[in-house]
This record gives sequence, C-alpha cells and structure tokens, in this order.
Amino acid sequence: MEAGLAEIENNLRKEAVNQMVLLTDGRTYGDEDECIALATKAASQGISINCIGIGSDWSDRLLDDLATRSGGSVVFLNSPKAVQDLLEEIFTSLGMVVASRMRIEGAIGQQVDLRSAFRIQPNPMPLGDVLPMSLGHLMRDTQIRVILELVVHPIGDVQTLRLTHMNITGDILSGESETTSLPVNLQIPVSRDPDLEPPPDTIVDALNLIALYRMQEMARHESELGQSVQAAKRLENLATHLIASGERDLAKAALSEAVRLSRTERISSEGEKILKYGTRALLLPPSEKMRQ
Amino acid sequence: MIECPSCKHQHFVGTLYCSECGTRLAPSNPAPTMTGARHQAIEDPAVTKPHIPEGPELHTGALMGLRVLSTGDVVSLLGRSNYTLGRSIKEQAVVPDIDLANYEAYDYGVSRLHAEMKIEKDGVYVIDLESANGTLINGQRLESLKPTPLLHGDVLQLGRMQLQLISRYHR
Repeated sequence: MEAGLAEIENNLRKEAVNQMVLLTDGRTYGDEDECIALATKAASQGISINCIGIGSDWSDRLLDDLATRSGGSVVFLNSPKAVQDLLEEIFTSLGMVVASRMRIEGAIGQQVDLRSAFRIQPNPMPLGDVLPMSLGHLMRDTQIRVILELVVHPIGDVQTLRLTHMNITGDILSGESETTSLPVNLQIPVSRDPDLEPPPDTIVDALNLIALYRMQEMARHESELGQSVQAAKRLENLATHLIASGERDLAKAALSEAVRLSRTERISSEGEKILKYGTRALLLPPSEKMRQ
Repeated sequence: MIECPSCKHQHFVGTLYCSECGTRLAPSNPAPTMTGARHQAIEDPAVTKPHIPEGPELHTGALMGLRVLSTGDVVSLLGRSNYTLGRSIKEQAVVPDIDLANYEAYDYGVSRLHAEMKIEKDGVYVIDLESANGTLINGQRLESLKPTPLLHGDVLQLGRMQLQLISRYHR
C-alpha cells in the first residue's frame, strides 16, 4: 500500500484523477493503524482508494475505513475470477470522471446534529458523521446522492431554521486551477403544526433499505457482545423484510446465519460480508444490481 | 418521542424506519381485518372448487381479501402489492404481513414465513417459500419458489389451513 501510494504521489496532478485500487486478501500483520494513517494521508492529497476484498478472511471494517476516509469504495468478491471484469469496470468509470475530490465541508446549524450520512449513489456506503466528508469522483451524466440524518433539538420561537452551512467542493478536471465550491445552505420553515405530507418516495425507499443495512450491522454487533439469541432474532427479522422486498437469496443468507448463531453463537466471516455488502447493494439502481 | 408499534423501541419524532426491527414508523395502510358470516365458509373446498362468494364482505369495501375458512374472517388485501403469509411467534418482533397466528396457524402446520402473495397487473400470484408443510391451490401442491396464479374463489392451503381468495379485480 505504501509503495503504491508513493508511486501515485510521484505523479500527483490536480487536473487528473488520482486513484488507488487496493486488491487484498485482507490479511494485515498488526499494522492496521498504519494502513489507516496512509489512507488519511492519501485522502489529504486527494487520492481515493477503491478496495477489493477477495475471499472472506479480510477485515471489512478496515477496508470500509480506508474507503470512507478517501472517498473510495469497497467491493467484496467471492472468488478471484471476477477481478478482471471489475478492474475493467473501474478503469472505464475513471475515464468518465468530470470532477474529482468531491467533498462536503462546512458546518451543521445550531441546535442541529448530524447523526449519520449515507452515500446512496454511487457505491452505497455509510460516510460517518463528521465533516468534512469525502464523496469521491463525480462521473459524467450521473449524480452523487447522499442522505444526511439530522436531529433538530428543541428550538425557540423562530420562523425558519437553518440546517446547514455547508459547501460542496471539488476539482473540475477540465483544467480549472481553483477548487470549485458550491454553498449548500438548507433552511426549513418552522411551524407548530406537523407537516402531514410524507417525504418523497425516493427518500423513504432509500431509508427503508438503509434500515435493513443497519439491522445486519446491529446483529453483528450483538453477536460480538455475546448476545447471540438477540442477534439471531434480528437476522430473522431482517430475513422477513428481505423476503418482502423480493430479496430471497439474501433472506436465505440471513436465515442461515441466524441458525448458525443459535448453534455456534457466531456469524460466519463470509456471512458477515454477504449480508453487509448485500444489503448495501440493495440501494444500487436496478441496472447495476443485475451485475452484482 | 415515538414508539415502534412492533418492538416498542423509542425514536425521535420524524423517524421513518425503526432502527431496531426495520418496521415502517410513519402511518401506513394497515390491513384491517373484517368479520364475515361464518355460515358462508365452505367446509371442504379442496374437493370441489367452491362457488364464488357473493357475501357481505364484498359490500363492506373489501375489494380483495383472503377468507379464513375455519372462522369466516376476511383479511383485506388492499394497499400493497406484496404480502408475506405466515405466523408470528411471541419472541419475534416482526410479524408477517398476514399473520395467521390468531387462527391456530401452528396447529394447522403453517410455517413462520410460509408463502408470499404478489398482486400484479394481470392477477394474484402465490409463491411457496419452501415451507415445511407445503402450499396448495385447490388441492394442487405448488412447486417451491415458483409463482402460481390464484384466482377469485380459489382455495389456498398453507399446511392444513385453508384460505379463499375474494377478488373483484382481475379474472
């Protein structure tokens, strides 16, 4: 990883895409902290890291961390066979980048907390709850979509509430030397009457799928705490929701891990990844889902 | 704070999905249960396809429903295009969309996630979810995981529990 980054650093250019693709079986040798330090440094230089984990023994949390810091992505491959297709796909998509080093900067309003952020397009994954946030590259004719979960604390008698004082920044690759910055100042009217209008379907649908993603995260957390009965129950619930969404294979994986939990009190390493990346992939648009 | 109806977890006002069990928290369209006249239930429908019911259920607004033949109750099937059928158990926070636990589903051999119904443009389809005791339509056993059409008046059998489709839509 160090050698790869050194190579990129020698060729760093502001008007280009600076990208690392990390292919790994995920075995680290007690040097996870160093990997994270490298990713943090890479991110500060505008290098994003796409991680491809092969097999089932790698630390998905480490790779998620590297990707989140640098605005990259994580893909899970069961076998090395699909690597070539995936690499071709990554290289093709890098040719479509119009702006790189996209970030959300700035601050959240007073009386407002950022509880979580989730990128739903491209490469769905959680982005943590700290600004600035790296969003990765912006491709031609596509969007980067992020859901921010904000909590508004009790406020006084005001007419409007400012939610964010943020900027979205990025380097447009057509040769502009300055970083482009767009202000995003969200304000909402404040009223004593609850708004009966439901949120747009796209948001509701995405939140539904994010809720499923979080259920498997919680089940895994519980199993690590030794609460395997509760974790198994949660995976069964998850399976119910997955079947209702027509995701039978993933539902089966959740059920079989629930059975495994009740027998061995553990989720299998492969099952963890199937559920994690499988529930994230639910957020992909239909055309990309087919490919997964 | 608002409470999840399914697992009782507390959430901030405005939360849309329960983080604990994934249940939708905003008011959605629950499937109401109506009671029909018991005598209209057909005793042994698997032998001959029962006549098409013209019961009061259809006048009470149930354009599509499943009649539980043992009691005559009608479960409405409106508001969604997809229902899971099965029975809840006490410790499980989430119940299938159509929960047959109150109809002695356990004794009838209904699995927890037994089957799925899809309401498509061209009709209603049933998919057996690899249930332990199988799913039958008018006495014919379904192949697992294969969508099979269910018509108005057909009897759907989960294990030994019989349900009849009442539909004003489609064929």
